[in-house]
Amino acid sequence: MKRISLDAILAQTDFIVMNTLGKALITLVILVSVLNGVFLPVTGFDPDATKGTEVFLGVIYTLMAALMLTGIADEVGTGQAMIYLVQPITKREYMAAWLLAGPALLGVSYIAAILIPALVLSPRLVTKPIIYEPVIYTLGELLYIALLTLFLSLLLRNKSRAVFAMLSFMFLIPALGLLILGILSSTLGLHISDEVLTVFTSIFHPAVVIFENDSMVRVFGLLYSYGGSAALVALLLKYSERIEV
Amino acid sequence: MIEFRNVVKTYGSGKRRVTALQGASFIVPSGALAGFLGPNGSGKTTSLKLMVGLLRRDSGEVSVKGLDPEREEREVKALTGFLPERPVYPLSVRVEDFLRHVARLRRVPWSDVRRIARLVGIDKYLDKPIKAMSRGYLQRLGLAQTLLSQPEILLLDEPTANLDPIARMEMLELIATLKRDLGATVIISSHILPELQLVIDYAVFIHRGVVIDYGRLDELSAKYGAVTIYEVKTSREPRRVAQQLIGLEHVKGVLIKDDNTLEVHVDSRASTEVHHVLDELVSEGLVLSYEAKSSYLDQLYRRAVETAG
Repeated sequence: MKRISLDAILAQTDFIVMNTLGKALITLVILVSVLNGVFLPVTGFDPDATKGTEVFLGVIYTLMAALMLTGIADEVGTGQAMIYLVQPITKREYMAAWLLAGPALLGVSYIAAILIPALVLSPRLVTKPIIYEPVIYTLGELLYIALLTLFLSLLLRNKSRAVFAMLSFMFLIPALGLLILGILSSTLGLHISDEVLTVFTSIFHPAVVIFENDSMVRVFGLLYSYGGSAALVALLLKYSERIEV
Repeated sequence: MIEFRNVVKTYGSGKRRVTALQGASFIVPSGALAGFLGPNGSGKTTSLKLMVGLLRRDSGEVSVKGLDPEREEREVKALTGFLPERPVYPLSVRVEDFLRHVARLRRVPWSDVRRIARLVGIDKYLDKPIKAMSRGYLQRLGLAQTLLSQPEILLLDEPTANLDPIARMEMLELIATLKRDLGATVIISSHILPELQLVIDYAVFIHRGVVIDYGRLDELSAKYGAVTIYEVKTSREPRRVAQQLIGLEHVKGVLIKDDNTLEVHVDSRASTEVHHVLDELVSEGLVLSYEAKSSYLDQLYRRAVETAG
Protein backbone atom coordinates (compact mmCIF):
# COMPACT_ATOMS: atom_id res chain seq x y z
CA MET A 1 0.00 0.00 0.00
CA LYS A 2 1.47 3.34 -1.07
CA ARG A 3 1.76 6.05 1.57
CA ILE A 4 -0.33 9.12 0.88
CA SER A 5 1.27 12.56 1.10
CA LEU A 6 -1.22 15.14 2.33
CA ASP A 7 1.24 17.92 1.42
CA ALA A 8 1.28 16.80 -2.21
CA ILE A 9 -2.53 16.55 -2.33
CA LEU A 10 -2.98 20.03 -0.82
CA ALA A 11 -0.35 21.56 -3.12
CA GLN A 12 -2.09 20.16 -6.20
CA THR A 13 -5.53 21.12 -4.83
CA ASP A 14 -4.32 24.69 -4.36
CA PHE A 15 -3.04 24.80 -7.90
CA ILE A 16 -6.28 23.44 -9.39
CA VAL A 17 -8.39 25.89 -7.40
CA MET A 18 -6.20 28.91 -8.13
CA ASN A 19 -5.55 28.22 -11.78
CA THR A 20 -8.21 25.90 -13.19
CA LEU A 21 -11.48 26.17 -11.29
CA GLY A 22 -11.08 29.35 -9.22
CA LYS A 23 -12.66 32.06 -11.39
CA ALA A 24 -15.51 29.85 -12.63
CA LEU A 25 -16.23 28.72 -9.09
CA ILE A 26 -16.41 32.25 -7.70
CA THR A 27 -18.66 33.33 -10.58
CA LEU A 28 -20.94 30.37 -9.97
CA VAL A 29 -21.21 30.98 -6.23
CA ILE A 30 -22.02 34.67 -6.82
CA LEU A 31 -24.61 33.79 -9.51
CA VAL A 32 -26.40 31.22 -7.36
CA SER A 33 -26.26 33.48 -4.27
CA VAL A 34 -27.79 36.38 -6.20
CA LEU A 35 -30.49 34.17 -7.74
CA ASN A 36 -31.28 32.77 -4.31
CA GLY A 37 -31.38 36.32 -2.91
CA VAL A 38 -33.91 37.23 -5.61
CA PHE A 39 -36.06 34.11 -5.18
CA LEU A 40 -36.21 34.13 -1.36
CA PRO A 41 -38.45 37.25 -1.02
CA VAL A 42 -40.67 35.87 -3.82
CA THR A 43 -41.31 32.73 -1.75
CA GLY A 44 -42.19 34.92 1.20
CA PHE A 45 -39.38 33.31 3.21
CA ASP A 46 -41.64 30.28 3.68
CA PRO A 47 -39.30 27.32 4.31
CA ASP A 48 -41.70 24.97 2.56
CA ALA A 49 -41.92 27.18 -0.50
CA THR A 50 -38.14 27.55 -0.82
CA LYS A 51 -37.90 23.85 -1.60
CA GLY A 52 -38.69 24.38 -5.30
CA THR A 53 -36.23 27.24 -5.75
CA GLU A 54 -33.46 25.36 -3.97
CA VAL A 55 -33.91 22.31 -6.20
CA PHE A 56 -33.94 24.59 -9.26
CA LEU A 57 -30.76 26.36 -8.11
CA GLY A 58 -29.27 22.98 -7.29
CA VAL A 59 -29.80 21.83 -10.88
CA ILE A 60 -28.19 25.01 -12.26
CA TYR A 61 -25.27 24.69 -9.85
CA THR A 62 -24.82 21.00 -10.62
CA LEU A 63 -24.89 21.60 -14.37
CA MET A 64 -22.27 24.36 -14.16
CA ALA A 65 -20.17 22.29 -11.75
CA ALA A 66 -20.25 19.34 -14.15
CA LEU A 67 -19.11 21.56 -17.02
CA MET A 68 -16.23 22.86 -14.89
CA LEU A 69 -15.11 19.41 -13.83
CA THR A 70 -14.74 18.20 -17.41
CA GLY A 71 -11.51 20.25 -17.18
CA ILE A 72 -9.80 17.10 -15.92
CA ALA A 73 -10.54 15.50 -19.31
CA ASP A 74 -8.54 18.32 -20.88
CA GLU A 75 -5.66 17.87 -18.44
CA VAL A 76 -5.41 14.12 -18.95
CA GLY A 77 -6.35 14.09 -22.65
CA THR A 78 -3.96 16.83 -23.80
CA GLY A 79 -1.10 15.59 -21.66
CA GLN A 80 -1.03 18.60 -19.32
CA ALA A 81 -1.44 16.16 -16.44
CA MET A 82 2.00 14.79 -17.32
CA ILE A 83 3.64 18.05 -16.28
CA TYR A 84 2.26 17.47 -12.77
CA LEU A 85 2.60 13.69 -12.69
CA VAL A 86 6.34 13.79 -13.37
CA GLN A 87 6.70 15.62 -10.04
CA PRO A 88 6.72 13.72 -6.73
CA ILE A 89 2.96 13.20 -6.62
CA THR A 90 1.31 9.83 -7.19
CA LYS A 91 -1.60 9.34 -9.55
CA ARG A 92 -3.84 8.63 -6.57
CA GLU A 93 -2.79 11.87 -4.86
CA TYR A 94 -3.42 13.76 -8.11
CA MET A 95 -6.93 12.27 -8.22
CA ALA A 96 -7.48 13.07 -4.55
CA ALA A 97 -6.55 16.70 -5.31
CA TRP A 98 -9.22 16.83 -8.03
CA LEU A 99 -11.74 15.32 -5.59
CA LEU A 100 -10.95 18.01 -3.03
CA ALA A 101 -10.83 20.89 -5.51
CA GLY A 102 -13.87 19.60 -7.37
CA PRO A 103 -16.76 17.85 -5.60
CA ALA A 104 -15.68 18.67 -2.04
CA LEU A 105 -15.08 22.40 -2.58
CA LEU A 106 -18.09 22.67 -4.89
CA GLY A 107 -20.27 21.05 -2.20
CA VAL A 108 -19.12 23.46 0.50
CA SER A 109 -19.47 26.50 -1.76
CA TYR A 110 -22.95 25.34 -2.81
CA ILE A 111 -24.08 25.20 0.82
CA ALA A 112 -22.62 28.70 1.29
CA ALA A 113 -24.38 29.99 -1.84
CA ILE A 114 -27.73 28.75 -0.53
CA LEU A 115 -27.38 29.67 3.14
CA ILE A 116 -25.58 33.04 3.01
CA PRO A 117 -28.42 34.91 1.20
CA ALA A 118 -30.92 33.34 3.60
CA LEU A 119 -28.78 34.41 6.55
CA VAL A 120 -28.55 37.97 5.20
CA LEU A 121 -32.18 38.39 4.15
CA SER A 122 -33.97 36.35 6.80
CA PRO A 123 -31.70 35.08 9.61
CA ARG A 124 -34.72 33.38 11.25
CA LEU A 125 -35.03 31.09 8.24
CA VAL A 126 -31.60 29.59 8.86
CA THR A 127 -32.64 28.43 12.31
CA LYS A 128 -35.43 26.27 10.90
CA PRO A 129 -34.32 22.68 10.17
CA ILE A 130 -36.76 22.42 7.26
CA ILE A 131 -34.60 24.72 5.13
CA TYR A 132 -31.76 22.19 5.31
CA GLU A 133 -33.84 19.37 3.88
CA PRO A 134 -33.61 20.48 0.23
CA VAL A 135 -29.93 21.33 0.77
CA ILE A 136 -29.26 17.73 1.79
CA TYR A 137 -31.06 16.35 -1.28
CA THR A 138 -29.56 18.78 -3.79
CA LEU A 139 -26.09 18.39 -2.28
CA GLY A 140 -26.40 14.62 -2.80
CA GLU A 141 -27.27 15.21 -6.45
CA LEU A 142 -24.43 17.71 -6.86
CA LEU A 143 -21.84 15.30 -5.42
CA TYR A 144 -23.16 12.36 -7.43
CA ILE A 145 -23.17 14.24 -10.76
CA ALA A 146 -19.82 15.91 -10.06
CA LEU A 147 -18.15 12.58 -9.29
CA LEU A 148 -19.76 10.91 -12.29
CA THR A 149 -18.44 13.77 -14.44
CA LEU A 150 -14.91 13.22 -13.15
CA PHE A 151 -15.14 9.51 -13.86
CA LEU A 152 -16.53 9.95 -17.38
CA SER A 153 -13.95 12.66 -18.11
CA LEU A 154 -11.14 10.32 -17.12
CA LEU A 155 -12.56 7.55 -19.28
CA LEU A 156 -13.21 9.75 -22.32
CA ARG A 157 -10.10 11.99 -21.97
CA ASN A 158 -11.77 14.62 -24.16
CA LYS A 159 -13.60 17.68 -22.84
CA SER A 160 -16.17 17.92 -25.66
CA ARG A 161 -17.06 14.24 -25.41
CA ALA A 162 -17.24 14.46 -21.62
CA VAL A 163 -19.54 17.51 -21.81
CA PHE A 164 -21.78 15.72 -24.32
CA ALA A 165 -21.89 12.59 -22.14
CA MET A 166 -22.85 14.60 -19.05
CA LEU A 167 -25.49 16.66 -20.82
CA SER A 168 -26.91 13.43 -22.23
CA PHE A 169 -26.97 11.86 -18.78
CA MET A 170 -28.60 14.87 -17.16
CA PHE A 171 -31.14 15.79 -19.85
CA LEU A 172 -31.26 13.69 -23.01
CA ILE A 173 -31.47 10.18 -21.54
CA PRO A 174 -34.09 11.03 -18.85
CA ALA A 175 -36.18 12.91 -21.45
CA LEU A 176 -36.01 9.99 -23.86
CA GLY A 177 -36.75 7.56 -21.04
CA LEU A 178 -39.81 9.51 -19.94
CA LEU A 179 -40.97 9.73 -23.57
CA ILE A 180 -40.66 5.96 -23.99
CA LEU A 181 -42.48 5.36 -20.70
CA GLY A 182 -45.24 7.73 -21.88
CA ILE A 183 -45.57 5.94 -25.23
CA LEU A 184 -45.61 2.55 -23.50
CA SER A 185 -48.28 3.63 -21.06
CA SER A 186 -50.53 5.05 -23.78
CA THR A 187 -50.06 2.27 -26.38
CA LEU A 188 -50.05 -0.70 -23.99
CA GLY A 189 -52.48 0.85 -21.58
CA LEU A 190 -49.98 0.42 -18.72
CA HIS A 191 -50.48 2.49 -15.62
CA ILE A 192 -47.18 3.94 -14.48
CA SER A 193 -47.41 5.37 -10.99
CA ASP A 194 -45.91 8.71 -9.96
CA GLU A 195 -43.53 6.85 -7.66
CA VAL A 196 -42.13 4.84 -10.59
CA LEU A 197 -41.70 8.02 -12.62
CA THR A 198 -39.96 9.73 -9.70
CA VAL A 199 -37.64 6.78 -9.11
CA PHE A 200 -36.80 6.70 -12.82
CA THR A 201 -36.06 10.44 -12.89
CA SER A 202 -34.10 10.23 -9.65
CA ILE A 203 -31.55 7.98 -11.37
CA PHE A 204 -30.47 11.10 -13.23
CA HIS A 205 -31.59 13.76 -10.74
CA PRO A 206 -31.68 12.16 -7.27
CA ALA A 207 -32.93 15.41 -5.68
CA VAL A 208 -36.39 15.06 -7.30
CA VAL A 209 -37.36 12.53 -4.61
CA ILE A 210 -37.84 15.51 -2.28
CA PHE A 211 -41.18 16.15 -4.02
CA GLU A 212 -42.36 12.60 -3.31
CA ASN A 213 -44.44 11.88 -0.23
CA ASP A 214 -43.48 8.22 -0.09
CA SER A 215 -40.68 8.02 2.47
CA MET A 216 -39.27 4.86 0.84
CA VAL A 217 -38.72 6.76 -2.41
CA ARG A 218 -37.04 9.57 -0.49
CA VAL A 219 -34.75 7.14 1.31
CA PHE A 220 -33.96 5.52 -2.03
CA GLY A 221 -33.01 8.92 -3.47
CA LEU A 222 -30.69 9.73 -0.58
CA LEU A 223 -29.08 6.28 -0.53
CA TYR A 224 -28.65 6.39 -4.29
CA SER A 225 -27.00 9.83 -4.36
CA TYR A 226 -24.81 9.58 -1.25
CA GLY A 227 -24.12 5.83 -1.61
CA GLY A 228 -23.39 6.31 -5.31
CA SER A 229 -21.09 9.22 -4.50
CA ALA A 230 -19.15 7.13 -1.98
CA ALA A 231 -18.85 4.30 -4.51
CA LEU A 232 -17.67 6.75 -7.17
CA VAL A 233 -15.00 8.19 -4.85
CA ALA A 234 -13.68 4.66 -4.23
CA LEU A 235 -13.84 3.87 -7.96
CA LEU A 236 -12.04 7.09 -8.91
CA LEU A 237 -9.24 6.51 -6.40
CA LYS A 238 -8.84 2.93 -7.60
CA TYR A 239 -9.08 3.85 -11.27
CA SER A 240 -6.57 6.68 -10.90
CA GLU A 241 -3.81 4.06 -10.64
CA ARG A 242 -4.59 3.12 -14.22
CA ILE A 243 -4.20 6.64 -15.62
CA GLU A 244 -1.55 6.70 -18.34
CA VAL A 245 -0.26 9.96 -19.76
CA MET B 1 21.56 2.48 -12.09
CA ILE B 2 18.50 2.04 -14.28
CA GLU B 3 17.63 -1.44 -15.39
CA PHE B 4 14.93 -2.92 -17.65
CA ARG B 5 14.44 -6.70 -17.68
CA ASN B 6 12.23 -8.20 -20.40
CA VAL B 7 9.85 -5.27 -20.33
CA VAL B 8 6.77 -5.57 -22.53
CA LYS B 9 4.43 -2.63 -23.08
CA THR B 10 1.41 -2.60 -25.37
CA TYR B 11 -1.17 0.08 -26.08
CA GLY B 12 -4.82 -0.49 -26.96
CA SER B 13 -6.60 -3.80 -27.09
CA GLY B 14 -7.89 -6.35 -29.58
CA LYS B 15 -7.12 -5.55 -33.22
CA ARG B 16 -5.89 -2.09 -32.22
CA ARG B 17 -3.22 -3.47 -29.92
CA VAL B 18 0.21 -2.02 -30.65
CA THR B 19 3.35 -3.40 -29.06
CA ALA B 20 5.64 -0.53 -28.10
CA LEU B 21 8.29 -2.58 -26.26
CA GLN B 22 8.96 -6.26 -26.91
CA GLY B 23 10.93 -7.64 -23.99
CA ALA B 24 13.32 -4.71 -23.64
CA SER B 25 16.38 -5.31 -21.45
CA PHE B 26 19.19 -2.85 -20.80
CA ILE B 27 21.22 -1.14 -18.11
CA VAL B 28 22.24 2.50 -17.77
CA PRO B 29 24.95 2.87 -15.10
CA SER B 30 24.94 5.72 -12.60
CA GLY B 31 26.69 8.85 -13.79
CA ALA B 32 26.32 8.07 -17.49
CA LEU B 33 25.20 10.61 -20.07
CA ALA B 34 23.26 8.12 -22.13
CA GLY B 35 21.61 8.47 -25.50
CA PHE B 36 18.42 6.53 -26.00
CA LEU B 37 18.60 6.21 -29.75
CA GLY B 38 16.21 5.07 -32.42
CA PRO B 39 13.79 6.35 -35.04
CA ASN B 40 10.38 7.80 -34.21
CA GLY B 41 8.02 5.14 -32.89
CA SER B 42 10.80 2.81 -31.77
CA GLY B 43 9.81 2.86 -28.10
CA LYS B 44 12.06 5.57 -26.67
CA THR B 45 9.35 7.71 -25.11
CA THR B 46 7.55 4.63 -23.80
CA SER B 47 10.75 3.50 -22.07
CA LEU B 48 11.31 6.90 -20.46
CA LYS B 49 7.69 7.09 -19.28
CA LEU B 50 7.98 3.60 -17.77
CA MET B 51 11.00 4.81 -15.79
CA VAL B 52 8.85 7.30 -13.85
CA GLY B 53 5.65 5.27 -13.68
CA LEU B 54 3.68 7.44 -16.11
CA LEU B 55 2.87 4.20 -17.94
CA ARG B 56 2.21 0.72 -16.57
CA ARG B 57 4.20 -2.14 -18.06
CA ASP B 58 2.44 -5.33 -19.19
CA SER B 59 5.26 -7.54 -17.88
CA GLY B 60 8.93 -7.48 -16.97
CA GLU B 61 10.80 -5.46 -14.38
CA VAL B 62 11.91 -1.85 -14.22
CA SER B 63 14.31 -0.69 -11.55
CA VAL B 64 15.44 2.88 -10.94
CA LYS B 65 18.16 2.94 -8.28
CA GLY B 66 16.60 -0.25 -6.91
CA LEU B 67 13.07 1.21 -6.81
CA ASP B 68 10.05 0.07 -8.81
CA PRO B 69 8.47 3.13 -10.50
CA GLU B 70 4.97 1.65 -10.23
CA ARG B 71 5.11 0.57 -6.60
CA GLU B 72 7.38 3.37 -5.34
CA GLU B 73 6.01 6.07 -7.59
CA ARG B 74 6.65 9.16 -5.48
CA GLU B 75 10.15 8.05 -4.39
CA VAL B 76 11.22 7.46 -8.00
CA LYS B 77 9.73 10.77 -9.12
CA ALA B 78 11.58 12.56 -6.30
CA LEU B 79 14.86 11.13 -7.65
CA THR B 80 14.18 12.03 -11.26
CA GLY B 81 13.55 15.06 -13.38
CA PHE B 82 11.59 14.37 -16.54
CA LEU B 83 11.33 16.64 -19.57
CA PRO B 84 8.52 15.43 -21.86
CA GLU B 85 8.95 15.74 -25.61
CA ARG B 86 5.98 18.06 -26.04
CA PRO B 87 5.13 19.40 -22.62
CA VAL B 88 1.64 20.91 -22.39
CA TYR B 89 1.60 23.80 -19.92
CA PRO B 90 -1.28 25.71 -18.38
CA LEU B 91 -0.66 28.68 -20.67
CA SER B 92 -2.48 31.36 -18.72
CA VAL B 93 -0.54 30.60 -15.53
CA ARG B 94 2.45 32.83 -14.75
CA VAL B 95 5.85 31.17 -15.09
CA GLU B 96 6.60 32.01 -11.46
CA ASP B 97 3.35 30.46 -10.20
CA PHE B 98 3.97 27.29 -12.18
CA LEU B 99 7.52 26.94 -10.89
CA ARG B 100 6.35 27.75 -7.34
CA HIS B 101 3.90 24.84 -7.63
CA VAL B 102 6.62 22.47 -8.85
CA ALA B 103 8.91 23.73 -6.06
CA ARG B 104 6.20 23.04 -3.49
CA LEU B 105 5.71 19.48 -4.77
CA ARG B 106 9.48 18.97 -4.76
CA ARG B 107 9.88 20.70 -1.38
CA VAL B 108 12.37 23.16 -2.76
CA PRO B 109 12.75 26.74 -1.39
CA TRP B 110 11.85 29.72 -3.58
CA SER B 111 15.48 30.84 -3.71
CA ASP B 112 16.29 27.65 -5.64
CA VAL B 113 13.59 28.51 -8.20
CA ARG B 114 15.24 31.87 -8.88
CA ARG B 115 18.66 30.21 -9.15
CA ILE B 116 17.45 27.55 -11.61
CA ALA B 117 15.50 30.17 -13.60
CA ARG B 118 18.73 32.18 -13.94
CA LEU B 119 20.71 29.05 -14.80
CA VAL B 120 18.46 28.13 -17.74
CA GLY B 121 17.94 31.76 -18.72
CA ILE B 122 14.23 32.26 -18.08
CA ASP B 123 14.43 34.65 -15.10
CA LYS B 124 13.16 37.56 -17.20
CA TYR B 125 9.95 35.60 -17.89
CA LEU B 126 9.09 34.82 -14.27
CA ASP B 127 6.31 37.40 -13.97
CA LYS B 128 4.85 36.66 -17.41
CA PRO B 129 2.24 34.09 -18.40
CA ILE B 130 3.63 30.88 -19.89
CA LYS B 131 1.97 31.68 -23.21
CA ALA B 132 4.39 34.63 -23.62
CA MET B 133 7.31 32.22 -24.06
CA SER B 134 8.71 31.13 -27.43
CA ARG B 135 9.21 27.46 -28.20
CA GLY B 136 12.86 27.61 -27.21
CA TYR B 137 12.03 29.25 -23.89
CA LEU B 138 9.24 26.74 -23.25
CA GLN B 139 11.87 24.03 -23.60
CA ARG B 140 13.99 25.92 -21.08
CA LEU B 141 11.01 26.12 -18.74
CA GLY B 142 10.71 22.35 -19.09
CA LEU B 143 14.35 22.02 -18.19
CA ALA B 144 13.88 24.34 -15.20
CA GLN B 145 11.05 22.23 -13.76
CA THR B 146 13.19 19.16 -14.41
CA LEU B 147 16.16 20.55 -12.52
CA LEU B 148 14.42 22.19 -9.56
CA SER B 149 15.33 19.67 -6.89
CA GLN B 150 18.70 18.81 -8.47
CA PRO B 151 17.53 15.27 -9.26
CA GLU B 152 19.95 12.37 -9.40
CA ILE B 153 18.49 11.24 -12.72
CA LEU B 154 17.50 13.44 -15.65
CA LEU B 155 15.24 11.98 -18.34
CA LEU B 156 15.06 14.25 -21.38
CA ASP B 157 12.72 13.18 -24.15
CA GLU B 158 13.82 14.72 -27.46
CA PRO B 159 15.01 17.91 -25.69
CA THR B 160 16.11 19.54 -28.95
CA ALA B 161 12.97 18.75 -30.93
CA ASN B 162 11.27 21.79 -32.46
CA LEU B 163 14.25 24.05 -31.75
CA ASP B 164 16.21 26.01 -34.34
CA PRO B 165 19.84 24.92 -34.93
CA ILE B 166 21.35 27.52 -32.60
CA ALA B 167 18.89 26.75 -29.81
CA ARG B 168 19.60 23.02 -30.31
CA MET B 169 23.32 23.47 -29.77
CA GLU B 170 22.69 25.74 -26.78
CA MET B 171 20.39 23.13 -25.28
CA LEU B 172 22.95 20.33 -25.75
CA GLU B 173 25.73 22.47 -24.27
CA LEU B 174 23.46 23.30 -21.34
CA ILE B 175 22.72 19.61 -20.77
CA ALA B 176 26.42 18.72 -20.86
CA THR B 177 27.20 21.53 -18.41
CA LEU B 178 24.40 20.48 -16.07
CA LYS B 179 25.52 16.87 -16.15
CA ARG B 180 29.07 17.97 -15.28
CA ASP B 181 27.94 20.33 -12.51
CA LEU B 182 25.24 18.14 -10.97
CA GLY B 183 26.93 14.79 -11.52
CA ALA B 184 23.55 13.32 -12.45
CA THR B 185 22.75 10.32 -14.59
CA VAL B 186 21.27 11.76 -17.78
CA ILE B 187 19.26 9.90 -20.42
CA ILE B 188 18.47 11.79 -23.61
CA SER B 189 16.18 10.23 -26.13
CA SER B 190 16.62 11.40 -29.70
CA HIS B 191 16.21 10.36 -33.28
CA ILE B 192 18.73 13.00 -34.40
CA LEU B 193 21.94 11.07 -33.82
CA PRO B 194 24.68 13.40 -35.19
CA GLU B 195 24.08 16.09 -32.59
CA LEU B 196 24.01 13.62 -29.72
CA GLN B 197 27.46 12.19 -30.43
CA LEU B 198 28.87 15.50 -29.21
CA VAL B 199 27.66 14.96 -25.66
CA ILE B 200 26.85 11.31 -24.81
CA ASP B 201 29.21 8.66 -23.50
CA TYR B 202 26.76 5.74 -23.38
CA ALA B 203 24.08 4.52 -25.78
CA VAL B 204 21.01 2.32 -25.85
CA PHE B 205 19.99 1.39 -29.39
CA ILE B 206 16.30 0.67 -29.81
CA HIS B 207 14.53 -0.42 -32.98
CA ARG B 208 10.84 -1.29 -33.34
CA GLY B 209 10.40 -1.87 -29.63
CA VAL B 210 13.49 -4.08 -29.33
CA VAL B 211 16.68 -3.00 -27.56
CA ILE B 212 19.37 -4.08 -30.01
CA ASP B 213 22.42 -3.20 -27.98
CA TYR B 214 23.66 -0.91 -25.24
CA GLY B 215 26.94 0.07 -23.67
CA ARG B 216 29.70 2.66 -23.50
CA LEU B 217 30.28 4.39 -26.81
CA ASP B 218 33.91 3.28 -27.10
CA GLU B 219 32.87 -0.34 -26.50
CA LEU B 220 30.12 -0.10 -29.11
CA SER B 221 32.55 1.53 -31.55
CA ALA B 222 35.01 -1.31 -31.05
CA LYS B 223 32.26 -3.87 -31.47
CA TYR B 224 30.80 -2.45 -34.67
CA GLY B 225 33.95 -0.84 -36.12
CA ALA B 226 32.44 2.47 -37.10
CA VAL B 227 34.28 4.93 -39.30
CA THR B 228 33.97 8.73 -39.22
CA ILE B 229 34.51 10.58 -42.49
CA TYR B 230 36.19 14.00 -42.31
CA GLU B 231 36.35 16.58 -45.05
CA VAL B 232 39.72 18.33 -44.77
CA LYS B 233 40.45 21.59 -46.59
CA THR B 234 44.18 22.01 -47.30
CA SER B 235 45.99 25.25 -48.15
CA ARG B 236 48.50 23.58 -50.49
CA GLU B 237 50.14 20.26 -51.11
CA PRO B 238 47.18 17.99 -50.44
CA ARG B 239 49.38 14.96 -51.18
CA ARG B 240 51.75 15.92 -48.36
CA VAL B 241 48.87 16.19 -45.90
CA ALA B 242 47.41 12.92 -47.21
CA GLN B 243 50.75 11.16 -46.68
CA GLN B 244 50.97 12.42 -43.12
CA LEU B 245 47.44 11.29 -42.35
CA ILE B 246 47.61 7.87 -43.99
CA GLY B 247 50.56 7.05 -41.79
CA LEU B 248 48.42 7.33 -38.67
CA GLU B 249 47.33 4.07 -37.10
CA HIS B 250 43.58 4.81 -37.00
CA VAL B 251 43.22 6.40 -40.42
CA LYS B 252 41.60 3.80 -42.69
CA GLY B 253 41.91 5.71 -45.95
CA VAL B 254 42.47 9.13 -47.53
CA LEU B 255 40.88 10.25 -50.79
CA ILE B 256 42.17 13.32 -52.67
CA LYS B 257 38.99 14.88 -53.99
CA ASP B 258 40.44 18.00 -55.62
CA ASP B 259 43.36 20.41 -55.32
CA ASN B 260 42.57 21.39 -51.76
CA THR B 261 40.06 18.84 -50.41
CA LEU B 262 40.68 15.48 -48.79
CA GLU B 263 38.23 12.88 -47.53
CA VAL B 264 39.69 11.08 -44.52
CA HIS B 265 38.19 7.85 -43.13
CA VAL B 266 38.97 7.42 -39.43
CA ASP B 267 38.25 4.67 -36.93
CA SER B 268 35.62 6.41 -34.77
CA ARG B 269 37.22 5.19 -31.56
CA ALA B 270 40.26 7.30 -32.30
CA SER B 271 38.58 10.46 -33.46
CA THR B 272 40.03 12.44 -30.53
CA GLU B 273 43.62 11.51 -31.45
CA VAL B 274 42.98 12.39 -35.10
CA HIS B 275 41.52 15.74 -34.00
CA HIS B 276 44.83 16.50 -32.25
CA VAL B 277 46.82 15.73 -35.40
CA LEU B 278 44.46 17.79 -37.56
CA ASP B 279 44.67 20.67 -35.08
CA GLU B 280 48.47 20.54 -35.33
CA LEU B 281 48.24 20.62 -39.13
CA VAL B 282 45.94 23.63 -38.84
CA SER B 283 48.47 25.42 -36.64
CA GLU B 284 51.24 24.57 -39.14
CA GLY B 285 49.09 26.12 -41.87
CA LEU B 286 48.87 22.92 -43.91
CA VAL B 287 45.18 22.44 -43.15
CA LEU B 288 42.68 25.30 -43.38
CA SER B 289 39.74 23.55 -41.78
CA TYR B 290 38.18 20.15 -41.20
CA GLU B 291 34.75 18.78 -40.25
CA ALA B 292 33.16 15.41 -39.68
CA LYS B 293 30.85 14.68 -42.62
CA SER B 294 29.29 11.50 -41.32
CA SER B 295 27.83 10.76 -37.94
CA TYR B 296 29.47 7.78 -36.44
CA LEU B 297 26.50 7.27 -34.13
CA ASP B 298 24.39 6.88 -37.27
CA GLN B 299 26.80 4.23 -38.51
CA LEU B 300 26.95 2.47 -35.16
CA TYR B 301 23.18 2.38 -35.00
CA ARG B 302 22.86 1.08 -38.56
CA ARG B 303 25.47 -1.61 -38.00
CA ALA B 304 23.85 -2.66 -34.74
CA VAL B 305 20.49 -3.00 -36.51
CA GLU B 306 22.09 -4.96 -39.38
CA THR B 307 23.93 -7.25 -36.97
CA ALA B 308 20.74 -7.87 -35.01
CA GLY B 309 19.08 -8.82 -38.28
